[in-house]
Amino acid sequence: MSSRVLLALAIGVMSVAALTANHASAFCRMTTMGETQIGEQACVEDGDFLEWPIACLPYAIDERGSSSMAFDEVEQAIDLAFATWEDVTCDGEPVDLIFKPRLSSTCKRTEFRNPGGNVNTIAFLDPWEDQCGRAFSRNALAVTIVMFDSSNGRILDADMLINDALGPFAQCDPDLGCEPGTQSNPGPVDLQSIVTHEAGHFIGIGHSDVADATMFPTSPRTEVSKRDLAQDDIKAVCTIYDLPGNLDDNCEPYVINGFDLNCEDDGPPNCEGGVPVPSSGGCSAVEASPGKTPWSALLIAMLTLTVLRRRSAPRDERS
Amino acid sequence: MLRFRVLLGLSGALLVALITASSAHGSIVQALDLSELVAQSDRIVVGRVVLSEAFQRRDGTIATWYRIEVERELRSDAPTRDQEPEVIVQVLGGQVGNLGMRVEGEPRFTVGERAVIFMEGDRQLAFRPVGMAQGVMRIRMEAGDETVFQSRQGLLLVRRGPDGLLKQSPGALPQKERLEAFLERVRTIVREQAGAAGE
Repeated sequence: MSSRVLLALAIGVMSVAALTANHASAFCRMTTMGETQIGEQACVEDGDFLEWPIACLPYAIDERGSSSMAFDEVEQAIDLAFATWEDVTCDGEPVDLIFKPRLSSTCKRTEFRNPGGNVNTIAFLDPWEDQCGRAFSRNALAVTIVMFDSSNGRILDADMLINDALGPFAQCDPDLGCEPGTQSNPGPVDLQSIVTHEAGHFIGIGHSDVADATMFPTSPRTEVSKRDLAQDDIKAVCTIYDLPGNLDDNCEPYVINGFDLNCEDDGPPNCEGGVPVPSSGGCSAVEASPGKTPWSALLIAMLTLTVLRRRSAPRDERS
Repeated sequence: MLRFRVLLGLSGALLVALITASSAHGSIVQALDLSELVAQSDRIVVGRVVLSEAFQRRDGTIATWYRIEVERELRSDAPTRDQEPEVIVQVLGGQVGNLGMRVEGEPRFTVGERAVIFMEGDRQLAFRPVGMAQGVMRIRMEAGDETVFQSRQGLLLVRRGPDGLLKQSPGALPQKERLEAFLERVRTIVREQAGAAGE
């Protein structure tokens, strides 16, 4: 083999490697299998991609809002964050993704009911624990919890929880940013930036290594640029919701088993059980019932019902 | 010789391409340095994952228990005579039947893998990793050495600066490290903190 052929081969392989690296360093998608990331390893996308089957997505903000912001300011920041993703255009056409802000919820917790209605709730928690007093990681500012059908990656429900104890939060000036504070009296965190990032997870986007992407991990407290999507974020949402113009403002909001804005109306949560027994040769738990519920049949039935029940609905229930 | 150089170049190009590949970030979490990880831990163990079991809570959410066979105990909330050879770690998310739940930033384990785990919680219930995936240092063999890596699954790590601003942070273990050297650092911090508490 001549040196020229080898050189051409080298250039070819380098090009392929560069292209591969370029792909790997862009956005990643959330998947059913998750990932076991080691050090700086690239994203692992085993399993099916997580994706809403009908991207006409309602959400509702818990009526108790945040302790550091007026409720209308919270609404404004969150609506703008979701609208940022909805306003994307893919090759000149609106992305196949519409958000439906609903009336406020009474749902200060993550919950998925089946049977029973559901709501994609956005809630501020202080104390930072679930309804049974089980603490989330005290260091987390915000988490998005996504329920999905693991047989096909269809997202069924998503809730966003924000740690109100790590505020204060604010709708900061888009030009000047948030006011800086001190160690003992920290300045506010820009809520819109936080929610824009978390909304990416809400729709199935994992993360990105592109420095100016909303899904890239730079979030100085005063920075508000993460409100704006980068080309990589746009590529991500256009890849996932890739039927531009398929939905219109009258689309039927997708929710499993119908809306229930009040997830607390069935009384105090049942927190019994859940105690493992490590020395007995296996785990036992009152709550545990893995693999015993015919979820796939239930889900298929619910999805069928949802499709049959599709009706016109206003773009924004609040307006 | 020329072929060897070209092949060497090819390997280098591939290596550069792989090095520029991404890291994962999701939930926004305050970064903890090693002293903070130790301080927030009720128990620190080196262990092997021997079993996992996902279960659905009554509120419909899913959590997963991992049974960890303890190889070494670095900090315990119990006297030595009462220490158990196994510990249960619970994380949010998992799969039950066809229903799955993901929380970006929560660690996942593979049965059989080994890790250093910084845990908080009550032994009567399950422990939880400190700082979500930050509290899990996975052990891998590299060139014959046991090496630890900090897991940053789906984490966006930030720290509050002196001016109150949040800045991106590398976390407790920015670079991989030999297991024994890392454990010695942890033991030193445990001793220092125990000494400070006793004064």
